[in-house]
Amino acid sequence: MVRPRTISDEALLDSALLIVRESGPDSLSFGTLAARVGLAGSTLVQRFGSKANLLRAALLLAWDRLDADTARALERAGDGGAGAIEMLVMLSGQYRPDTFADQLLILREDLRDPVLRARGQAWLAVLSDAIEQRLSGDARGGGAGLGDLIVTQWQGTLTMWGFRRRGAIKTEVRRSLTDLLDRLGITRD
Amino acid sequence: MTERAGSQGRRSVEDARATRSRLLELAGDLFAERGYLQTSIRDLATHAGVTSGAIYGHFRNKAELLAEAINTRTAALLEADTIGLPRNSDYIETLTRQAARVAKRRRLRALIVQGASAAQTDLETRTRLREEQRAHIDEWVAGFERDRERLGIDSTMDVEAAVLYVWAAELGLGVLESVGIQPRTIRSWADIQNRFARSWQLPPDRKRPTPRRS
Repeated sequence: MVRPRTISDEALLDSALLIVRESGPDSLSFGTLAARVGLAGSTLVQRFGSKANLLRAALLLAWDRLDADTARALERAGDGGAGAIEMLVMLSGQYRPDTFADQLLILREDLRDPVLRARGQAWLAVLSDAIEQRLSGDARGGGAGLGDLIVTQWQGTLTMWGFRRRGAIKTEVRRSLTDLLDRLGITRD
Repeated sequence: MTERAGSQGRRSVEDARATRSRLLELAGDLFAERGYLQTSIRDLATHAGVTSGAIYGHFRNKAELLAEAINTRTAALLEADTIGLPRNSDYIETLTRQAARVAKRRRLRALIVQGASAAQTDLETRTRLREEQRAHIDEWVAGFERDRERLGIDSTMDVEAAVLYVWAAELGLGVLESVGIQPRTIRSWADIQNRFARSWQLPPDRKRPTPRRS
């Protein structure tokens, strides 16, 4: 008879992500995860096979959650430039000082894993298209190319905030993107 | 000291400088291409053909190597084009040209993204990089402030905010590139930077430059 799992895969992957967040992906091993969740290392090997599979599964879970957050933000954000900013501000909610590293760590892993890299590309393309859609009615030259620019500016603002950790991240993102759209002459209505 | 001893001393200082510079160059390339965490001091020593001990003779640790590599390349690739503008230069042209040369700074951006990732879990890296970034930004802001009138930058313009924008655009591009996304065209990227740079000359209620169609 198969014994019921006392800890779900998702809970284990959550703990794995926590290790990655705290100490970087290279710190994740069956040993460190076993110590954190109180299971035997051999049990974890049975479930995930290899350290690479474990890391990939954890990062895919992170991507699934990010995609779900993104879909929600797209649904809730209004039209126009203001909607575009709101969408990115909502997605910046995950960048709390203790969890800021998530996306950067995920993106860094993508350099080595084509599956995760494709997730990153798809995610950024969805954001860029959603922004361009919101700006396409702007007669001053919104639309084409601006989606990438605004996503770039957003990611850059987050990265700089990661270095500086000054003020609230959402306030910083809103200020930075609002100023950019104003200066580029893109209406925010 | 004899003349010969003096000459040998000078040569050994020069040799040490050259080795340090070569190590920085190599470390920058390896960190950017293979990843900061994935590159050990031993890997670097193997590539450089020196011992790990020799590397520690030049740098306290890997974090210092990373910070110095970013610092050197930022000065050479980003600031050389923008700080201390010649009297007859136009900063709009300069920033637009710099945007058009975006491809040549790809490795620098990859290096900074590696640094940003490492900084999340390593306090020393974060502190070092924050200080380096602050110094570069301050120098850049001071350069624009000094020439504000000559460059025609509006008196109400927050130069620091503008510099932070340019810096953020560079870092953000590095993040996108890390998953293989490039600006759709270099020309449109430069065009948008040009629109932004021109807005610096307008007061807040008129900061809406007409898009340049080309």
